[in-house]
Amino acid sequence: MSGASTSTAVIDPYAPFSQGKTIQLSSASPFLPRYLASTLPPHTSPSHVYNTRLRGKLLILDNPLRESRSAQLKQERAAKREAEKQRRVQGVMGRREAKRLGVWELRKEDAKWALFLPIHHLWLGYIAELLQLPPPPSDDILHSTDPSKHRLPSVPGTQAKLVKADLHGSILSVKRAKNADLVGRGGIVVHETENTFKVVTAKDELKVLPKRNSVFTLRVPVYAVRPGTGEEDGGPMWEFELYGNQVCFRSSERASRKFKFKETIEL
Amino acid sequence: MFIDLNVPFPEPIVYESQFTPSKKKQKQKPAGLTNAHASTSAMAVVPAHPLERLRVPDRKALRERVEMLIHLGYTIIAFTQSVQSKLDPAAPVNWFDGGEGTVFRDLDPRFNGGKRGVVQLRRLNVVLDEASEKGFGFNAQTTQLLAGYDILSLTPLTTSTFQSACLQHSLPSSSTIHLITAPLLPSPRLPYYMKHTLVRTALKNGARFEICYAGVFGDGARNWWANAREVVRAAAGGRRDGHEGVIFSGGAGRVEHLRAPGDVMNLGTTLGLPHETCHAAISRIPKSLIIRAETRRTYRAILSEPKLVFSAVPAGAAEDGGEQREDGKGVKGLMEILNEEEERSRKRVLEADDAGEGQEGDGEESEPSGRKRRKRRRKNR
Repeated sequence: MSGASTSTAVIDPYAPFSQGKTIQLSSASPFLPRYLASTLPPHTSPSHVYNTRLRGKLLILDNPLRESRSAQLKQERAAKREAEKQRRVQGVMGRREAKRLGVWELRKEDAKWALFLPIHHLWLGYIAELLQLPPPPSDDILHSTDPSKHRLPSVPGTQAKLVKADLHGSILSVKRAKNADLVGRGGIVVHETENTFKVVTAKDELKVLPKRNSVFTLRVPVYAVRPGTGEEDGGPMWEFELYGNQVCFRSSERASRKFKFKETIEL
Repeated sequence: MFIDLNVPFPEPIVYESQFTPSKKKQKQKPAGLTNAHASTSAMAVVPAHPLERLRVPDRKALRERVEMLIHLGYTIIAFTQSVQSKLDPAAPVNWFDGGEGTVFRDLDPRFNGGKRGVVQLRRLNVVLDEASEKGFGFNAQTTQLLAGYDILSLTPLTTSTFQSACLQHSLPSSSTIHLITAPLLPSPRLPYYMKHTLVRTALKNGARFEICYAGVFGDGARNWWANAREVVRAAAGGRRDGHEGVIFSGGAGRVEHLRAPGDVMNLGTTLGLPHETCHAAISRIPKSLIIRAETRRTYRAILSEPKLVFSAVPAGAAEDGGEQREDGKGVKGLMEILNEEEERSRKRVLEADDAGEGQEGDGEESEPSGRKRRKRRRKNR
């Protein structure tokens, strides 16, 4: 090995290129394989060395060109303007604008129980689909008050799904609360925010129920609603207590959240 | 509202037909006690009600005890089933099976239609010794069994079991323990040092340390005082924020040993606790503990167990659904009872306030003097 290296000419990397020799460089015939073939000792295979170690590798000799901060800002601003323009073309409203125009506010004259009842019926259909509720049995079983006659789904599975369900359109009422005035209030949920449920009551009022420090009652039918009628047919219902302290999330966050065991349900 | 979370439940008669492996059972029981009954009832069917599984004198004595507790003014009690070292994995027995959540149905305001009585809960206490250091049967297989109890508690006898009780078993899960009882009677010192970090973790997780006052009667009284003071020092001493780590309970197996809440509070003050903490230790803290224990039954403390209802009226449609549902039904939930109690106490406070304003007339003057007095008292302490 040592004999071989001494026999070949010592490579001096600082020596000037041999004069009068022109080298054509192109991506089709790169310089490096040829250079390796001429410099590496003969028993190594230069093409193999090139393919495994050097091919496609780049060494940047200069510092990369960085954009100035002002140019960056300018670009960002331009992108933002462009996006806004796009949005305006499509007719999408921003959050601030929506708030200014009062999109999230329900007009007083619109807070009607009868107006939101169809939404509740839609919700019943949704929950039947979500929980895969069985179709209603014959009338005498449906209206019997004997629990053993009803075919009941598994409780833990139902709870796991219900925790992530959309509650817009459900009927909630406050069962217990630190604020005693809230107890007994309830109605069809028209808007769920991070910390409140906004409901329309049977007296055609819009009420804001804070989630924190209150416990809600949520009723879910045991059987799917008969298609076409859209009405509740007086069948049995599951009654759940929903502990508001633990669901202070937006409806969308709640849907994708992993819930862990919590310490207490105390208010 | 006063709460006694430890009313020992007498050991029921063992029926052979309760288990398939009958050999094991005979070993566990002291032979002299059970033989007479076991021979007659070996072939018999296991009675459904927990009381019917007790011996007749036990049954009578238990009823006497419960009636005495009602007389003394307790509103909630918990019957305790004690298990040594670990839950028998082959044939775990719930002594309260078949009682529908209570024992004396006619003495429980949840079931007797609002008459006078005491809410009777079921508690499981596992005494942890060296044999239970590698697990004592609180696992996925026994969740079903543990669901049959309202409160779970541990009595660690060794350092390592005390550590696991404080660190692991007090964490929120479906088998969380809420009470840790130190053995106060057997020796003049506790078998382990109640390390501050462990105690703090347990308290942070919501567990509380229990002191059973029945120990003052009888042989181990000297040990009881020393050890109870140690528990108070570790769990309820020190700074103001950490002083509510102790609850008082009975643990009295005989009627003579039961005491009224006021007496228990006085006992607490002799242990070095402030009077208001003593009051909380027999009312507010155990109540919060019961609610915490109730959390085990919920789905991640978000949704409760469902209740089947048959009325066609949607809950929100009626303006005050809460009141409508309650009338006409005999069975009430524990939370409803607690709620009613709270409502009553709130009313009492309001009435007292009204009366106070009416009597004094010059409320401004009387209040500052009261504040001064309180300050002085704090200084003296």
